[in-house]
Amino acid sequence: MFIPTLIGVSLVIFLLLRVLPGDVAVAILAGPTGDGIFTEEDVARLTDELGLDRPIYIQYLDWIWGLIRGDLGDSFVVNTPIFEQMKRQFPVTLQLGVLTFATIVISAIPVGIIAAVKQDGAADYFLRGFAIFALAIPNFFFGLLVVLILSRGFDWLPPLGFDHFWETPFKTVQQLVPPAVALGLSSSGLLMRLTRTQLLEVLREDYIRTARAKGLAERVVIVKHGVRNAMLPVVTYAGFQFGILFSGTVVIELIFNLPGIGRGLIEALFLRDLPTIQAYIMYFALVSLAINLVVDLTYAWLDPRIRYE
Amino acid sequence: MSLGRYTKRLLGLTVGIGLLAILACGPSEEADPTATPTATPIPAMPTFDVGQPTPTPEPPAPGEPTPTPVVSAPAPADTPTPVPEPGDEPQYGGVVNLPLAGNTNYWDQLHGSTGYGWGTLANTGNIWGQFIRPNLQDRVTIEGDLAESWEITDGGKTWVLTIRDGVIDHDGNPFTVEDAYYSVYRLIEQPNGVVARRWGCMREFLNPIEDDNMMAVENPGAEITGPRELTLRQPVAKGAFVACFLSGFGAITPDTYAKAIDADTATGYRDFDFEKGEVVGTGPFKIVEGELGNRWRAERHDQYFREGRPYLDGLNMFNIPDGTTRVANFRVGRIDAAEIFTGTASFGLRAVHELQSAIGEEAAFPIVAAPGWRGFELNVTRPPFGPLDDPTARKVRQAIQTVMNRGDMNTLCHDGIGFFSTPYFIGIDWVYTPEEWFDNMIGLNPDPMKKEEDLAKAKALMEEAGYSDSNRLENVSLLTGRGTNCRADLVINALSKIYIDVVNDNVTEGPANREKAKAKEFDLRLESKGASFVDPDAFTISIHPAFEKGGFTFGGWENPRWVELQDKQVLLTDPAERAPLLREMADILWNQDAAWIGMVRPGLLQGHRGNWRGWTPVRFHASNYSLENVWLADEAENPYPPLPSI
Repeated sequence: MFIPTLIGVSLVIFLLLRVLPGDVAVAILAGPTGDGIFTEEDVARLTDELGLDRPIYIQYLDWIWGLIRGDLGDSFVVNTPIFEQMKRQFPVTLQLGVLTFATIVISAIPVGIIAAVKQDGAADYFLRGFAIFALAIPNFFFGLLVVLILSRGFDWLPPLGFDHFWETPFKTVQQLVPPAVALGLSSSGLLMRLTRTQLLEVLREDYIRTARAKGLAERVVIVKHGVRNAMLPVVTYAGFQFGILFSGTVVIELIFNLPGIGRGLIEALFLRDLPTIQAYIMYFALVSLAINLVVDLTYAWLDPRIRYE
Repeated sequence: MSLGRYTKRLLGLTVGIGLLAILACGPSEEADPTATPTATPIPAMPTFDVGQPTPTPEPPAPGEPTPTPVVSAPAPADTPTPVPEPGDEPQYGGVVNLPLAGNTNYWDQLHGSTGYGWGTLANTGNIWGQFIRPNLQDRVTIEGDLAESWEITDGGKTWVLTIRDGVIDHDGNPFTVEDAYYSVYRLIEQPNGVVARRWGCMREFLNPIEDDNMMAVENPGAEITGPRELTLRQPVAKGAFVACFLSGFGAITPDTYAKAIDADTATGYRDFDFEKGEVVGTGPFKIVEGELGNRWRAERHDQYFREGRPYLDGLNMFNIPDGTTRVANFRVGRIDAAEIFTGTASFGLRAVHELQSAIGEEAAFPIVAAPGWRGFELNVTRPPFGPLDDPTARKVRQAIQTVMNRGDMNTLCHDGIGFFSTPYFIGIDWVYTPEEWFDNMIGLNPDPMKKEEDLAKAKALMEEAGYSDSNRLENVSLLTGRGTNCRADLVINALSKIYIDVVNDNVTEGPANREKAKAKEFDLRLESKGASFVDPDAFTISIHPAFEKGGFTFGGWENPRWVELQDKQVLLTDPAERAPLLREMADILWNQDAAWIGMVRPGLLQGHRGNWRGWTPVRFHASNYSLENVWLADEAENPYPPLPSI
């Protein structure tokens, strides 16, 4: 299904972008502020240069042939290889994604377990309340709150100018922790609730009763028999989250000024840079499919009953 | 009914979150148009001299005290040039951190298509030079940059530039007339796929250099005519040429790497590669480190031709595309300027007041007029506002011009710090003084008593055209874009008083909006255009010809008499001779045909740290942003007049 899905995505993206209203050449010439000076001849010339006057199926096949050869094409707007842009942006998104994922896992899974184990207790109510709060608030709002609190409350914001963790670890941590916390906390709500619900379900199973009847310690019952069996849907969702994070977190990257994949996409969208948008979306599709594959393989490790032929 | 304790807490929490949301999102660009208008102050109008090109002042030798810069024209009323106190002598050293708002993933100055970002305006004057530029102290008169002098001949069609001797680029090579020529050649002929979109008006104005067979043409647009002489030729003298020529998009690049890239047709066009050392300018700062789309560090260019400049050791520039993030970083001190490198103010007067009170003297906020044109145009190719020669349509157009209330728009949509948009830039008093503008242009005077009379006149005109409360002009479409709600509501409200029912066709997506405009699928259309540079001497005070030529006028307006006057006035240099022609042109545009309804341009709030000295705020957003005169004082102070209250 991997290849057919990718082909389907490529077709949909390519066609959708071309049926959008507006002339790409005009958009490029006018610029984002709309006041670029140009003539009809400039529009015709650019349309020709960009190959936008060719039949649409030729444009599509040309693009696909490029993808097969590993050539993502050149940006319409900056006329440089898209791969070069993504190569610059990917490490930023990767570092943010890893830190955010760690935040999500560290905050959501233990909290979900505690809430399940202490069901209907004060801790459960509090943690569920927090999970619902996190679910209800979109991540960009969390991001804005973090910026607001840091700038107004502490007169501080992360240093500007992104540097990689392996170059300036201390500075990079300062730059990544606030967005990772904003993103992580807002994304952890669902995982928290999922962990709790799944664990509660498992804890009511007969084999848990049997384990307890055998006299196993409660910690062993919960961790070894309960948590492990409750983890299948949790892993699926966490994997999905991982995919989203690696696809770039558009608004958060914008708010915290991180030059990653997400900010790159939003800039390409504003500039109507079709090949760049296509490349980014294909990248998202590829990451999602790859993550799904990894998640499927993880099932077998988590649940020995699952075997892939 | 009493609320329970938990309900109250829930409500409190909701209100709290809502307030946080409002604080976090910041104020909207435009105020609520339904608010009650207060007495509208007439904005302070900048005044300009009819000066002559200003020679570049001789800078002091390094280490010597620098005299106070000589200001060759009176400081504009809205943004007085900070005058150093006696003994307040420039100091060398220090680094300034600047935000870059736009997408900046390119280096080639003739490549950029994406507006006010790294590739263009922020660098012009800092990394690259121009041939001639607006004087950095008065921002209005013209001074030589890479061209030390220039001569305008042939009735304004030919410009002969004398390229400055002794200019050394960042590679240590002398900047020659060949370098100068090649920049213009690239612009006009676009070899090997050079895009040259942003300074395209120059291509429009200048003759070609080669024909289709790449053979030299007669009277080419650019030609080396002497050891240091570059001649530029236009087919006809155009009023807008100076505005285009002086705009910040005119950054000139040494040809060392450009020629090699353009010659490599096998690989086609590519941008300059910083890693290969291809990013080379002649400006006061040179790039030494950085990454596209992220940050750059520039250091003083020790061989800069203006001896003793720059004062700063360097600049750090950070790409910050989000306006709120820029302001937050200015607040906490991560950057030293809030908005100077953008064409639009992303925060309004209220936010600036708040910042000013939070930061105090550490922040300085000048209000800067952004000359240009802002209002709406009428589609005069079809009823109800056309055809042009239809007397009924003309009455309707005049009624609209008469009823519009520029004072209300200024108060409600622009925090009261906007500037009226007339056919020509107010401030060129030899055309009209502000009072004369008000007296001579229908509907322009914002005085409330006058507006009452105007409303009555507009109604009478509409009634003469056959409209009334029982026979309204319905379904008039107003094409609007993003961030135009306030202006649109005001137009709709005003026109409803004269029997015109307007439907807001809000197309926020830029290209789609432009397509509709091109297809003339509108009756009214909001429009806004900034002027790159307003030449007080002669050639640019009308911005409309640039619009016509650049394809920006979608309403279909044309007027043979206006064109005749324009062709005449552009050849005159004596203001006394030109003024009557310009007045007649203004009369045609405003009172007779009324195809453009000029309203109000917003004032820009270009905040910077209070310890900057030697900086005159940039008046024209597409202008030269050189920081070569900026130095950092030990003490912070706000040299500008207090901000108007909200």
